[in-house]
Amino acid sequence: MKQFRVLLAALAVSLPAGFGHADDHSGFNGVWHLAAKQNALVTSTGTAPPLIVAKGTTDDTDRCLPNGIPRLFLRGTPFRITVGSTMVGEFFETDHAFRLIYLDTPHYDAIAPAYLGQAVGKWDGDTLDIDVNQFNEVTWLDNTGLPHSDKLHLTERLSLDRAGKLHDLITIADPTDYKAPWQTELTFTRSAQTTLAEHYCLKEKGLL
Amino acid sequence: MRLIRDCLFGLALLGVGAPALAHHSAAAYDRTRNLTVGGTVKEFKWANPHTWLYVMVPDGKGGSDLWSFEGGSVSVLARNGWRADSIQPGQHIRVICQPNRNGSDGGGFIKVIFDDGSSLHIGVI
Amino acid sequence: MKFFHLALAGSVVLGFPAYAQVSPSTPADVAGVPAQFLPNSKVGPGGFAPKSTPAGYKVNPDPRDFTGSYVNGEGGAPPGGAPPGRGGPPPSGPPPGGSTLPANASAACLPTFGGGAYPVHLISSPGRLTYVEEENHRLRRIYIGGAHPADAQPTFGGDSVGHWDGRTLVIDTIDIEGRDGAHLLERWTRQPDGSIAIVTSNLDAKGKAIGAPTDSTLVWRPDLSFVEDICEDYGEAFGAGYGGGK
Repeated sequence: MKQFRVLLAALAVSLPAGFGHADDHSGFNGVWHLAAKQNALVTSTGTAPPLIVAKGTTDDTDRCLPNGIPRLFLRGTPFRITVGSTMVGEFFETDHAFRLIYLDTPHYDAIAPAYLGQAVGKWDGDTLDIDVNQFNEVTWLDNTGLPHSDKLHLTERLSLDRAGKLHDLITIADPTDYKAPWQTELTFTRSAQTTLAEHYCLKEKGLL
Repeated sequence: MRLIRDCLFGLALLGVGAPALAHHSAAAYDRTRNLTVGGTVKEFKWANPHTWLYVMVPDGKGGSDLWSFEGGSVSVLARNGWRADSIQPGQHIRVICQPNRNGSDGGGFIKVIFDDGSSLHIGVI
Repeated sequence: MKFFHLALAGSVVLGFPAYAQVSPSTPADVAGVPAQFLPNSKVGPGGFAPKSTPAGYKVNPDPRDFTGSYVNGEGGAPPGGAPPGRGGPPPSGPPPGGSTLPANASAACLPTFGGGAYPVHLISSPGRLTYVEEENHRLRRIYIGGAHPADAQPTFGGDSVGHWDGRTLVIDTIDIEGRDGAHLLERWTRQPDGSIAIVTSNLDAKGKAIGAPTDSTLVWRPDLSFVEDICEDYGEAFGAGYGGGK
């Protein structure tokens, strides 16, 4: 933690006016990827997710429909976190997707269910608490076909450990598709990439 | 290798800089007048990148013609109160539009009036 | 009979056949539609004006913090964004399992450079400005204090570097896909009401100005929140579509 604060202080010296306060949470900024390749979400207890419906079999991302959350973290591509004063952005190479996590606000009026849901968050010290709802039913939770309904509600706790790894502790609640809420944790390390590549699925799959 | 079409598409959007006229060709519709068109809904296509409204309009000779109206995109309309099920096939409606400049049956729809007097219109956000 | 003759005469004048239910719109017909969509609108051709910044929101005292939600101001594209389809009805979308998408819809799903009618969300963070446009979930990243990489390739968002000139962010963009050799220079300055005034110049590959600079505004809209726009899905997320999905 001391190293982290020293790093923040060093950043503070080099930043333009307006940034560099110790509580600007800029430690999350940068490009990240999964510490280890992963296709399936694993519960924190080691048991299988308490599914009460069948897994999905047709992968709609093959025809360029969007990946959802947390599946976007499992596609083998990096993502960038950008911390702003009133919102935090997560930008994914896959699908050129992004989600904006609005800070210190309750969920706002839904226009329609979304592939990535609607995320709001607040800082709890150096941990970012994220609350996500208003998902549509189209996506899978992971690459193996774990489904979810539009009742899906995620809470995430995003934090850095002393070694500088990023952890996303995700609680998945979906009374339609799962017997009970369950937890899973994703671990990320910094990517060697400093920029994200542009990917346009329709073009790359020759569907133009 | 870029497709010729993509190049032309990009050039057509060149405009004069960031926001001005970056996308929509204003030339498609006659913006000097609005037309009110009554008929029976064939389909309301709530889809990206544009919504579409297909209406069978009596031709005055006992038959009817298909008019095609193009609208804004889903999120823009949704912010103005429209939903996927706002307009049903078989409903009689009046469509207020900016007619196609080339004279074909249709235009850009800006408002729909239902027989019970209720209505939906586009708006800015 | 007289009505029929009148209608016929009127329709000849208008250039339409004698439709019983086609007529010029009356004021009652267009009630409720914002004036800028009506004939004789004062808003310039192709332009529209969004709602203004609502009252009651506190502007961030740091003039270099652009974080927030905005809408392109007067002079931007009309609502809808993508150009109309090239004649005929739109595609009904590919069947599940994937197949060739009709050309006009997919061309419209390709990202393009420049603003439209959709909200824009900005995040200021150390060394960068991230510009997110809802339409087709389009991104621009502006690297502040850096230089264009020597091996920059054209991308849909272009390669943007910026530096501060007092309270003005000067942004230099090259390598915009589809705009070979074009060089865009923008000056972004936040105004007291939270909106951002932008002056844009087009330069040729040698840095010479092409035409006069243009002014535009990103109107600050703290009342707006991000709404997903997924061009690829033909409206499925909103409850309609071509019957695919789970």
